[in-house]
Amino acid sequence: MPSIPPIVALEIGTTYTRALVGEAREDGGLVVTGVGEERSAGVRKGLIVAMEQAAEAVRRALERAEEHSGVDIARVHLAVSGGHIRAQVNRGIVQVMNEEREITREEMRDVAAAARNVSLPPERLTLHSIAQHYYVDDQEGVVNPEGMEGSRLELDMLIIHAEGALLRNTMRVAQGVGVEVADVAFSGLCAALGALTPEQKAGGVLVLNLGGGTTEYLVYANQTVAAAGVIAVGGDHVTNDIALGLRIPHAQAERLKIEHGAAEPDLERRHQTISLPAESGFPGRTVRLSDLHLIMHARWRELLRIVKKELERRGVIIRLGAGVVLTGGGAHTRRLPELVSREFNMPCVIGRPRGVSGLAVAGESEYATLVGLLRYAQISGGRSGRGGLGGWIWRILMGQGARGG
Amino acid sequence: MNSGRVRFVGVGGGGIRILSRLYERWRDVPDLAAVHTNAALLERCGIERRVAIGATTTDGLSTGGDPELGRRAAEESIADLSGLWPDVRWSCVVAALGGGTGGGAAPVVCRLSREAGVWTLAICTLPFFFEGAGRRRRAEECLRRIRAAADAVIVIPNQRLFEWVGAEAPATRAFEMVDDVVSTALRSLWRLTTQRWLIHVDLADLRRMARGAESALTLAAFEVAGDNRVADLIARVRESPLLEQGHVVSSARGLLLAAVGGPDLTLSEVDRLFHGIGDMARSDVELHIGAAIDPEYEGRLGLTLLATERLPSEPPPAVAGDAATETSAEQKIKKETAQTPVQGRLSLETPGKGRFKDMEPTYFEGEDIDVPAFMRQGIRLSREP
Repeated sequence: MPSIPPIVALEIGTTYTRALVGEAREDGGLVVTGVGEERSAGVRKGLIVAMEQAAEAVRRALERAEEHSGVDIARVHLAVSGGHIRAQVNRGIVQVMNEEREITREEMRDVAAAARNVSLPPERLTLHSIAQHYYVDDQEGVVNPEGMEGSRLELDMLIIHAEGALLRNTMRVAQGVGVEVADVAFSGLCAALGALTPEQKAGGVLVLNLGGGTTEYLVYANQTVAAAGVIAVGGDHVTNDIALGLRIPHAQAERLKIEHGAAEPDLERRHQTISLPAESGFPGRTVRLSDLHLIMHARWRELLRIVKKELERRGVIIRLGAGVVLTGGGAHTRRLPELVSREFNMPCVIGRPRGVSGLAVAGESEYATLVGLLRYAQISGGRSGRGGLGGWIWRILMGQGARGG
Repeated sequence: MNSGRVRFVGVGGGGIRILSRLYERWRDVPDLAAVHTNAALLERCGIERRVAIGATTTDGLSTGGDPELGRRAAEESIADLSGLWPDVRWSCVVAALGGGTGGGAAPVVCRLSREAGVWTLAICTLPFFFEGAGRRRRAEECLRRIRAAADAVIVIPNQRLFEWVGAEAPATRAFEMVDDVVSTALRSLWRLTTQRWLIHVDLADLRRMARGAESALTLAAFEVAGDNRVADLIARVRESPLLEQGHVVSSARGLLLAAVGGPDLTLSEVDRLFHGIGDMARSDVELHIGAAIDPEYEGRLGLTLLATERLPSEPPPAVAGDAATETSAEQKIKKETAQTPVQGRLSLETPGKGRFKDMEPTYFEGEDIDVPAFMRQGIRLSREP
């Protein structure tokens, strides 16, 4: 056994509940030693709608991960999402009072505290606060003001906040199966931590984490997290659209999507039809491939345009030299990278977890969130907020039942 | 209050219906006018000031849903329409978009009003989904013209009221609901100009907000009674479908809150109300507040809420399926499937939500995006091979 205890990352997703057991190597890398995956129930659009069903999937996923890794799981880190999660920029301001008017760590600490002190409605909780840029008097975009001279220091902080009750519901499901929730983190941030290379972060990049119930987005620009958010639309919507459009049951729609789906119409196969065999309670049916593709295309294109609008509104879309990185299960959708590339007018690649060794499954795009969460836990557990992430300042405010990191 | 007289001008069948409802319910809003191509409908509407347009263009009949006819009818009758403005300081043009007269003539009416030096606010409803994609697309096109012609535009997407009405209710009930909601909002807006204010709010505040975000204003009015009126009112705001269950407030850049109560209204209640709603909003929201006492409101509490939802220059609800950005492959398939004669197209009458029907809906720019995208975009499926 290594001296550092294993870390467990848990995600109660809309389609899958997954757990990943990781151990930190001495060189800072991660070894994945166990994985547990279970079909979710009682989760819609990233939110818990039936606690017992959701808990059952968590129990099984954790059991499998325990068997697989040989570790007894007592504590987990939890990835959270949902349309209630929002991000906003808050600016803190302090006057530099010392005689030399030199900015020291003290002023930097004070301005960070001021920037974090955003007034949210009482039921909102801050999940992450991420330092963006400093301003020294009128000079914009200062990365590190320490030692600089000025009379006024300002800092923009990206505050990612969530609805407390919804967050605690997700935590309760995990706690209900007898594990302690050590920490929670936003899935979109985790996916970025799991899949992005330093070069992509430096160049400016948009991560789209395409989940079953939600789509998280996160933008790195100018070496910091410029924007983040959640659209409560995911693969489940694609399946639902197919089921309603083709009038077939949800399970058949899901299978059809995976086996024959595509985000763009296929001109060559447009006359092709697919026979869905009869099953219990379903008389069987023949559908046109072009219908399937039109339904999926309409949904994906709309989703991408919503994200694009959100980003344009925040003025962050123009600087993304490294283009778009897709993570999550939705990244497997055929011809989606082409559609993304066309809609955003940027290159698009599928992102896979990096910097992990051990199990091969952890290299798939849908494990980016969990690998990122392991890394988040590793960094936040080890140091006090200024780790290899380049100036992250984070804190977690939780109600009863959870501990801040 | 010295911001002068306001005139409400209903253009087209839907707009006139809303003003008729306003008149029936309160009878105290003095300055109403009705504009339509259909002479018979004008006769029946009960509004005194009437302008029949397009005698030559439509021969006293309706436009048959063609906004181009509505526009020509208004252009033909510019001389008659210009009689509407000399004695007013601001005008409020009310139209239900989707048809011919409302959609086609309202932009012209707005333009004339503005050219007469009158500050012009347009209040437009957008069709329900069940009215079909064609109407919705026409409505959005007309809305763009109105935005270009008016000083400020308040958009009420009828679909936001859909959950309220209930999917099983007959369509007539849905339209009555719209008339009730919009007429209530209009009256509350009118009261802004006539009330005696303890804490002053006025049209100038509204104009300032409207200028900052000409594209996306939301208006809602509430009224409650009882001992718990402050808490009840805040709950109503939080649950209002017009405000997307409070999201409009929490994301607003600017908010105007005008409260009206009876002589029994206490300052502490006013304070709790504004704090309660202010707590839902962004910390950097631009807030205008007002409070008034009106004997008529004994035991009750009313609130008019106007929000600027988005930053300026944000386009109206996504016009999906615009041909310019579609691939040729998609167009070709659409064309082919559209020509398939047998099974016809998917019925738009019931916006299905499938597995999301019991969940809190997800809205984007006023649309319930849990409803399948292809349905909302009016994409035709061949359905059967």
